[in-house]
Amino acid sequence: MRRLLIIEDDKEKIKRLLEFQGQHDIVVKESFQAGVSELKNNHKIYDFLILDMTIPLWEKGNNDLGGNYEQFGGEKVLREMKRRKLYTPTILFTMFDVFPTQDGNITFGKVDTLFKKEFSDFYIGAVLFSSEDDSWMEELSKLMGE
Amino acid sequence: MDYKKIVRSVLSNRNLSLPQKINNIKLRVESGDYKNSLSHPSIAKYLFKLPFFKSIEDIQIKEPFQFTGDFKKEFRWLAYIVENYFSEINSFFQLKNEFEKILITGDLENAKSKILYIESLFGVSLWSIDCRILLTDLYDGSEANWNALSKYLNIIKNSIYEFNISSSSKRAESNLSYESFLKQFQNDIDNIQASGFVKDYFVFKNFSYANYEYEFKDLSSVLYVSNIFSVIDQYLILLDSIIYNISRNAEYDKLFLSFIKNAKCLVPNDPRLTAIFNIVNHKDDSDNPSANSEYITCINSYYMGDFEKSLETSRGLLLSDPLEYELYQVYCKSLINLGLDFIPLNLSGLANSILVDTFKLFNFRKDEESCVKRLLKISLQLMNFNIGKQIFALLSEIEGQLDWNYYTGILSTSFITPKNIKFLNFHQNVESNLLKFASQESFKFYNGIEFGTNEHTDFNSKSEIQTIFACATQQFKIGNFERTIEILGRIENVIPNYYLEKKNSLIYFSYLHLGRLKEALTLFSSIYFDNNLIYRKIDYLSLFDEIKRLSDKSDFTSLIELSILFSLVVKEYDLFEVYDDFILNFGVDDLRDLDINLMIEKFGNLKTIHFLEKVATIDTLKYNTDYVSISEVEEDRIHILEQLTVANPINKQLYEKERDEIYRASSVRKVLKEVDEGRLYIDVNSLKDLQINKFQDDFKRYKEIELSSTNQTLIGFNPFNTKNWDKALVEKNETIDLYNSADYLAFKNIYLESRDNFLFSKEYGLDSCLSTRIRHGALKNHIRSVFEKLDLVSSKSKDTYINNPVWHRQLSHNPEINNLVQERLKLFSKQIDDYTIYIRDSLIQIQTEKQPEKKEGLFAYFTNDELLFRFYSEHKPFLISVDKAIEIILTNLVNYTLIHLQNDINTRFSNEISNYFQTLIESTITDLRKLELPNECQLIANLTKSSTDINQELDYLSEWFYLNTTNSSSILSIHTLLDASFHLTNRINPLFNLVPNVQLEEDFGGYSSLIFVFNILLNNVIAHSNLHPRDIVLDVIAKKSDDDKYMQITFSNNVNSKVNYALNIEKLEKVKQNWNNHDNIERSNKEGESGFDKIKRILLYEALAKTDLFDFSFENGKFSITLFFPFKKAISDASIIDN
Repeated sequence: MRRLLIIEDDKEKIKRLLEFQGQHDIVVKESFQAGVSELKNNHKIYDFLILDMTIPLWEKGNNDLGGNYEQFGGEKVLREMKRRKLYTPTILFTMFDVFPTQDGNITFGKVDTLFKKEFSDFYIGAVLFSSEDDSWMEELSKLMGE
Repeated sequence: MDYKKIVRSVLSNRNLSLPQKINNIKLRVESGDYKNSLSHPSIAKYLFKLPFFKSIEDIQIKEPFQFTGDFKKEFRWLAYIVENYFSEINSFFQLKNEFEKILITGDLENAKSKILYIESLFGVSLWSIDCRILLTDLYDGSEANWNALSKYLNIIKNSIYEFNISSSSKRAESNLSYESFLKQFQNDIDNIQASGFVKDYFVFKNFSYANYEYEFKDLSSVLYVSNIFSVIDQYLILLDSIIYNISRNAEYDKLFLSFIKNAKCLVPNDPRLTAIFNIVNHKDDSDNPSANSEYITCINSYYMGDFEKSLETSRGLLLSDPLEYELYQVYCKSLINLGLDFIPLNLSGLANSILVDTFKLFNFRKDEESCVKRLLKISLQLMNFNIGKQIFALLSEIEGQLDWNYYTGILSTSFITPKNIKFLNFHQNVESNLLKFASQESFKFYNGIEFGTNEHTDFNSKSEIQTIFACATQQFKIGNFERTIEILGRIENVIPNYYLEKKNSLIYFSYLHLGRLKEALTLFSSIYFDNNLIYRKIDYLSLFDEIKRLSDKSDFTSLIELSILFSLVVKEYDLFEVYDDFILNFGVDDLRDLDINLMIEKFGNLKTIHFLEKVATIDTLKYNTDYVSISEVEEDRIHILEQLTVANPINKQLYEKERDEIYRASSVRKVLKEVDEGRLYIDVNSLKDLQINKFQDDFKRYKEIELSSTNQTLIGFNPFNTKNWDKALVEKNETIDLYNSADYLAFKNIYLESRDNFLFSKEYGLDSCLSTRIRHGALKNHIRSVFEKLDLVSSKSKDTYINNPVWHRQLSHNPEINNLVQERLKLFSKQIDDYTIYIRDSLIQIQTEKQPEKKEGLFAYFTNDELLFRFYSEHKPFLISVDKAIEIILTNLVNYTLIHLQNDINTRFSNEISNYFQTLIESTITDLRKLELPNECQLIANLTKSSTDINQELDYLSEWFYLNTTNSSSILSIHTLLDASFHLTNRINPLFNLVPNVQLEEDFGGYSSLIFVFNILLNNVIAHSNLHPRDIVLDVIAKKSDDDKYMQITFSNNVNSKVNYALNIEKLEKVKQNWNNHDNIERSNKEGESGFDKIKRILLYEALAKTDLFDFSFENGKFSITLFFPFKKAISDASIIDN
């Protein structure tokens, strides 16, 4: 049995991950703050981090008026991990095949390539989630060496 | 094909009109053969028939023929026409020069006569209109300028002229700053939606300084459009285009040469031609310096360090020729080198302002920074004058922008200036032209800087400081940055600002080149906090980029300067990273432990204050995971602000303002949280009191029946049985007798009436809450806003969905895909709206056995005898008094709502409702994928995002259904209530960002339910103004009534003047008449009924703030609604709780 940390706020994705990886010991955090906090305290106990890209900054109810949504919150988690040397093997888990930015779209593949270069110490790859197509399960298993 | 054959075949073609024949020649003949091809008398007659427009009324659009997109063709075509009028153009230039001189020296009366005279000889041109408008603005003010513009626009009915003249008017407008003009011009260009060659023309002709990427890089587009104007404009545009091209590269030098050579002979009054000739001419027959002798003498003396002589000669030259900006510069720099204050010259008008501001510019004083704004404005007003271009060139140089504007300035002179040497950087083949000037000291000096390598022999100035800076600049240019730093390091900082700015700029850029980033950062910081000097060249973005690129920044973590630099470029998480590294390095784990005095001691006052003001902000701190909520971040920020108030009392007001803003945001957040959590509110205590009174008799009867039932079995008629009437006829139910027992039925009566009161009472009922707080706009808008924010749903016009403008614009180049996308999005919009309405009208409804039409309502309070009898049996022993009975019934209803219903509703929102939206989104994505949208189109990405967003929103909405039985009794200030209302309204109407003007003449307090009242009024503004969001002007005024009886609040907004509001006025009249009639208040529970019934109900039962007054007005296109609240004096200020 492995220990997984999931940083994700989408209920459907969490449900599907829990169904698929139910054999493992899983902890779910739903925000940047809660996720990074958990990593700071316990990163060594986790075998993998499964990380969403778009996550809230705060746990529910603790946010500001301006909103709670970090479009590239996942990338910020990775940057905190790098800065603090919290090297838990990490898989990006997203349903976006393109990410809209101010400078135009950035594709899922491009993000994966960039992250592999930028966070090479602990980032192992990305999985594209789809509620209609279960191929993400195979890809996730592959990255986790299962 | 030989041009003669082409011309012959074209001219002999009888099917072509003369313009078509000319057009054919333009397209088919090589440009080098234009001259010969167009010499046929009939063609010449046509091409040269209308060189000038005698009056404004005579202005017409001349035939431009077809655009070739070929620079050589467009250039030679226009040159052929213009060359025919060199003699007239020369005469025009003589007068133009005279005009410019008298205008710049403020002789406006003479300037007016001169321009009229020029127009009488050479007609009305864009140039003459531009000058007349400028004169009008300078002489009679901007109002006269606008009148003149209006007069022109009334007569000239052509959009190209209209745009030009309107831009002239704005450029001339004395009070419109350069920055404002820039913004307005950008808007104008965007709004007219011109493209291709027309857009190129508009930008070049109306704002030639613009840093703009022309679609036709060599300006063939601009030359083409200028065919339609008078010969005067054609020549001016042609020359400007030549200068533009020469200032960028040498590509067309040979093409320009014969035209320029010819023009130099025949238009000697155009002062630029000699300088241009010396740049493009590669045949070694350029002009020599003798023509410049006085000017060269002046410049030579400056670069030889003889500043007294250069001061004297520049003074004399300036007084006789105030159009030459280089002389202004020599005069000012001579003063500075001599250590003198400004000495005014006997110049007047713009010339004097230019001189004063140029002196200030060279002094680089922070407190005289505004001189740049003024010089920019003058350069804009004089954009079509040589001196205007020269001023702009100097400003570009000062900013370190040696772009084509800088080179254009060099060529816009009457003399061959030593700066011409710079052209050798990209016009190498004309070196010999400038060698003729090589013996001149000023040219030697410039040559030494640009191309020299020997700092010891290249400069011959008497001035030590001038020589040192020349050497340092030379070494910098050849890439010897260490030497630059060494040379400049020897100079003390006690030198004129003019040199100090140069010194630090050169050292800073040398550090950057050498990768000595820590030193660059430290120098940047001392420059940034220098109170005396303004550094215009320092480009901190390059330093930021260099440091950001470093994979290891550990060398920088102890430097407060890094956070300061980052705070100028980035914010939020990007700033947090460097902030956090620094603060940890400084040994601070908790901001509360930060010793500000220690910081000041270590880093100085200015850096510490900047760090605390601009770095340690809420947006930065919030990424620290030691905080668990934004409120904790705010507490620490307030702590910092308190420390700042002590350390920097001069900004006390600013800090207090920020602190108050934090308190206000925090109050609004708390109020909104309260509002969301208290959306479902039933005042159970009041309801209980009401029912105890109401059911006294019924309970007494029940108790009597119960007593009798212990002696005999009493039964009664159970109305529930009617529902199973058919069943009852055929089946015998053993338990039916129990359900008909009289005591149960007596209790049942009480229960059902009590329940209906709980659900439908107009004062306290659940349905009223559902209606006013959830169904009325809020729920639908919240759901729609998710998709509106991502541009996924279209608006409706008369029940039909219109095209989605965002994607329509983005896909405009592909009409077929565009249409299919639009149709799919219209369907998506309809599906979202239909389902949202279904949620509102069918699901967010109360279901009882009495409302069969609400059978899908999520608030299912349906009961039957089986359930109710069990409930009765369980509680019978406790039904000892009416109080107890009512308490038992209401507690049961509350618990049922809180536990069962809320759970059911949450499940419905997170499963069925969520799934339905997901299906709609997914099927839309599937359909759109088939269309193979272009890569840059973000539509599918936005749809994917909406999938997460709608789930988050549904999650948030499901929390609204928590039933509160105790209301917040806090009285909130009207300010907070309004802020919360604006925030709430804008959140659910993302396309309408209302920014009301609020005037609070009197502060007063109210219950949080007033937010729902204000939201109804704000939603009315959005729904009924019929205006584009940016055009809505909303004023909210709160004050005490004249008789001190009421606090009144007025919402006043403009409306679309083209819409007839008679029906709205009639409705409001009825609201006013019926304001005190509460008979129909239950109508407030029905959707689609007037929002004012809902307002009445909230004011009456929730806000406890209804009075007998209501007013409205419709005057001057503005609707005003006034509500009057009872005015009660506060016992103390503390009664208004905001924090």
